[in-house]
Amino acid sequence: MIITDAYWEERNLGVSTLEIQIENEDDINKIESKMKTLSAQYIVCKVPSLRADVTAYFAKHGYTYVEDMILVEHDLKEAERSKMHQRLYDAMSYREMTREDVEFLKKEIEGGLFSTDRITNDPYFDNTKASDRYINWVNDLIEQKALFYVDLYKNDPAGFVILQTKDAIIYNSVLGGGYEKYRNTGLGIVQKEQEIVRKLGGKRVETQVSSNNPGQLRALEINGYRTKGINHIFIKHND
Amino acid sequence: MTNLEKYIEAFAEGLEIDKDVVKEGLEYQSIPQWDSVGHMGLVAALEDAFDIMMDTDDIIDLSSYEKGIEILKKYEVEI
Repeated sequence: MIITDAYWEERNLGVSTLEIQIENEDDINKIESKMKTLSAQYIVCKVPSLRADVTAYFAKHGYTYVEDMILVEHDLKEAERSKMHQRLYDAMSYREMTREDVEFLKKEIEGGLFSTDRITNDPYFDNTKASDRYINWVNDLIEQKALFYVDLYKNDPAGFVILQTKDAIIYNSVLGGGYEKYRNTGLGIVQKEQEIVRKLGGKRVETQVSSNNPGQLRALEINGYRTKGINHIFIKHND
Repeated sequence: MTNLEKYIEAFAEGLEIDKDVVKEGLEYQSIPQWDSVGHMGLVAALEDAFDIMMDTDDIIDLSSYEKGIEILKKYEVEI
């Protein structure tokens, strides 16, 4: 059981926040005892899908199930693309973001780039808080020297991906999406992060997708990603 | 088979939906099946049905049942 004081969410959302990651080997009695001692305005619990006993505990104690977070990984082997997929793939390129690209990304976020995450869909928070949270996250990622790339369709920015790595072997695709102009065009099928990570010398790329975004999950699967794990996400607001 | 019948069949086959669903008003994201993966299947089915190869600009512009009819005119296909 890992308990994190998510102090950054107080800046983002205006509420004290605890994030609790349950692990497969955690004892249910110890979880129950520990949970009784915790207090915050907003508590987020991540429960491995195999832990039905813990799922039942949170459901019984006033926590609301909001989504599954599905961890997927890619071994960077070239995906077998259909001819149509390949044509779209070949029509796209990428480059590292410039400062102007980052500002463009922030404007896209302000315009409602993200719509499936647990904050945007929580009536307790307004959409401005949700977009501010992403912009703060982008600023944090800049400070952390994350790798920012813009996806281009005929040299026009169509989307982005941000990567992080601890060991230059496994890369985490922490944030990505398609820009408004190219939404509902089918270009979401094109994912360049495997090519980027290969060129960086990495061996694997991982990312997480919400069960509230089944279209993105389908796109990840068709690009060769495989499911590695699933966490049920529960939340609770305390006054 | 008329071009309209071929058009409807291509939509149904490409998006893996019933033909009854294929009608005016059908748009990208209006049904779960028409996402980026479904879109790829739809364009492939239209190309097969009418023996054409669409430009990528047209592929990404194909956002609705009606828009598809408009785009196919560029390839001399009248629905």
